Amino acid sequence: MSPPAARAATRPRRPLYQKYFIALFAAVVVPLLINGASEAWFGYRDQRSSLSQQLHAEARSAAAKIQGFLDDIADQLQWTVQLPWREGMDERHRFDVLRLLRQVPAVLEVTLVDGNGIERLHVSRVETDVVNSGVDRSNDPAAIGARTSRIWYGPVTLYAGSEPHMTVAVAGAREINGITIAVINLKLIWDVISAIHVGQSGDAFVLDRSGRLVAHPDISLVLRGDDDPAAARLKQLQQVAIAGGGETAEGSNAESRWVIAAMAPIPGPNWMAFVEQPASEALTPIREALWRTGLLLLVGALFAAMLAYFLARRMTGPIALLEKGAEEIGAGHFDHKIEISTGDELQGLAQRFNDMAVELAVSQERSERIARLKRFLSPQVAELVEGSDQEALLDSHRAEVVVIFCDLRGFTSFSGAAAPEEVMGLLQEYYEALGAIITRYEATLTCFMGDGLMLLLNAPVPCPEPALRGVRMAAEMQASVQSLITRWRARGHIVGFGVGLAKGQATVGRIGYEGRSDYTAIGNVVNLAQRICAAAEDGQILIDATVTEEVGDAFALAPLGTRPLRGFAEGVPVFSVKQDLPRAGFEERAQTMGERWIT
Amino acid sequence: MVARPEHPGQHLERAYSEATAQRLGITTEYFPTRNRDELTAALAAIAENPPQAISVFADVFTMQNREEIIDFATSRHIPVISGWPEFAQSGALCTYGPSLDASYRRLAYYVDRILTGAKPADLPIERPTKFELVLNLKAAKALGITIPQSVETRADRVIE
Repeated sequence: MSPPAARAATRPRRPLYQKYFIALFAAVVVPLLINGASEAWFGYRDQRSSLSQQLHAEARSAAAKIQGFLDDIADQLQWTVQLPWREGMDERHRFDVLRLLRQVPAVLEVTLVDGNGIERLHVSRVETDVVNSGVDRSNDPAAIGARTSRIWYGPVTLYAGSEPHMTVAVAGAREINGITIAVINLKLIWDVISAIHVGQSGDAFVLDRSGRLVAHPDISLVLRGDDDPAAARLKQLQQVAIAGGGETAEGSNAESRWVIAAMAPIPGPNWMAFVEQPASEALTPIREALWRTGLLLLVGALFAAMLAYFLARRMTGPIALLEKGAEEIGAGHFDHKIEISTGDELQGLAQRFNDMAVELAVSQERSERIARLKRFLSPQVAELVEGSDQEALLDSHRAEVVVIFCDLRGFTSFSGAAAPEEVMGLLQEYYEALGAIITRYEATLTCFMGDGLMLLLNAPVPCPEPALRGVRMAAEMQASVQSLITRWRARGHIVGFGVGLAKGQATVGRIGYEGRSDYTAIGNVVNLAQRICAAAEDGQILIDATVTEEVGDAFALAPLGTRPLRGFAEGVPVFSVKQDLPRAGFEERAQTMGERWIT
Repeated sequence: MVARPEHPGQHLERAYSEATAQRLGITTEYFPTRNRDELTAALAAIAENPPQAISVFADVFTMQNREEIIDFATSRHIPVISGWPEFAQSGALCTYGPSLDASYRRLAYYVDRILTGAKPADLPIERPTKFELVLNLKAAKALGITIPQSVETRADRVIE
């Protein structure tokens, strides 16, 4: 289990939930955005072009109406040039003119010129008639124009600075029919112009080539003259339109509103008809479409956010549970169950985690049990006991065991004299050396006290030829410890090592209480082995008769006769195992210490 | 010429009439009538020296008293001409002047512009576009005058 500090360090910087949320959100919103933006752009372009087309159509229609108005007047004027100027035709011509005035309210005055260009009749609504004035009008631009192009349109002039007049001249089919020059009051065009409506608030107006306002729904603009700022704005608009070619123009109209305008020519008098629509109105469909797209985008984004939120939750929820579960299990809470029921791999994973936790729990329990056993059993035996689930092996029963005792000679005095660190250090080396051997021979260590150990063979797990094994082990122990003793002697620590073995029936089993129990053997053989060990001098391995029977062939034995041992009424035959040990120094040690080896 | 001098533009009408009359070789006499007393005096003066025709300048005062003037003239076989059709309806021989209906419509336009905030000084002055010629053939018959075809042709309205 890693410490909390390390755990915190490996915690992800950005939560998985955030990443999923952003990814899902982007996955929905980005296509939406792209789609919306491209739709808006293309929609705008389409709308603009359709608006342009519509305005142009309206402009052409307005131009046609104006042209129609002028054509009507010209047609009516034609009536007056159908008769030739001959003798006696004056009255007839006069009649024609009077009826013309009656018929066409737009005509203010008419001048009839004969085939030679001489003025023959002048009739006006506000002046007295002039008959046969004799004025030569052949150089009048009106007359010249009419002669060349049948219908001549003069420039728009402002009578008295405010009334728009235009001269129209019409020539007859034959030169002798003469020419009619009429002055038209263009205010009547106003009726035509003001009837033209485009959309909600669009209208039409007419400018001549030079930019002067000829007709406008607000007639007062026309009458105001050239230096009016409104008229100047319209002139500006016209210039923009001309510069733009066939495109619609944008600019300020007479009322200073921003408009989109289209232009169509009126060929006869060389005027231009304009149709304007306030930009706000014209672009309304575009604006609305944009708003719609924007709203849709917003709704889509909201939806995407919600979707992303829920999906991310669903994804990361189980993962968070797994993470927590792993944490709990890692902390040792093996009974923590991860509950995931999404029906997918995550649920499977959770199940695996739970199984793992159960197994970890079992394994941990087992490890603890083994650890407990290993305190006295050799690792192999502990595993065996634990693995085969043979706890029953540890139960009390009688068995033929080999008991081995060993301890250090002269340790008591040494430990009294030496510093505590030296004592512990020496013991450490001693146990390390012995421990390795014990483990290898799979002997059961039942207890150790200070410098002495008690070992069992053939319990709790039976082993083949326990006595032989025991003696072999003892021999190895002696060899190992003796080399240690040599080293210690160099440091000035004088100790010896003796081993005693005995074999016999004993009761083996666990004794103790809950939480602290030890495995041990109870019986005569235990005491025997202990006394035999006590009798062993430094470097000796003493064995009893029973052991001797078993190992007689394998090892060279030296019978030491019967020894009186405390606790035994009769003497016990003891044998010594011959070993190849450097025996040098034993006598010295014995002499130096001057001690009884028998402790 | 019978006219009320205070009528706006009256002096123009008078000057124009006198100039045209001079061109046509007609002598004119001018009788200003501000009120009924002056009118009575003018009519009395006219009675002493009957003209060939009377031109009544159209204005509110003369409108109100047109019956009197026209009856006075008709009883003396003097044709009356004026500017507004109402005079023809009351017995004047013929009237020629701007169409009041059209003028009133334009008047409404000006009122609208001023009410929406335009300054009167900014609004242009408009001349009349439509003119009306009204003939009273009944009066002509009574006066024993034959109206020439050309004039009849030009008439916008004829009162039989």
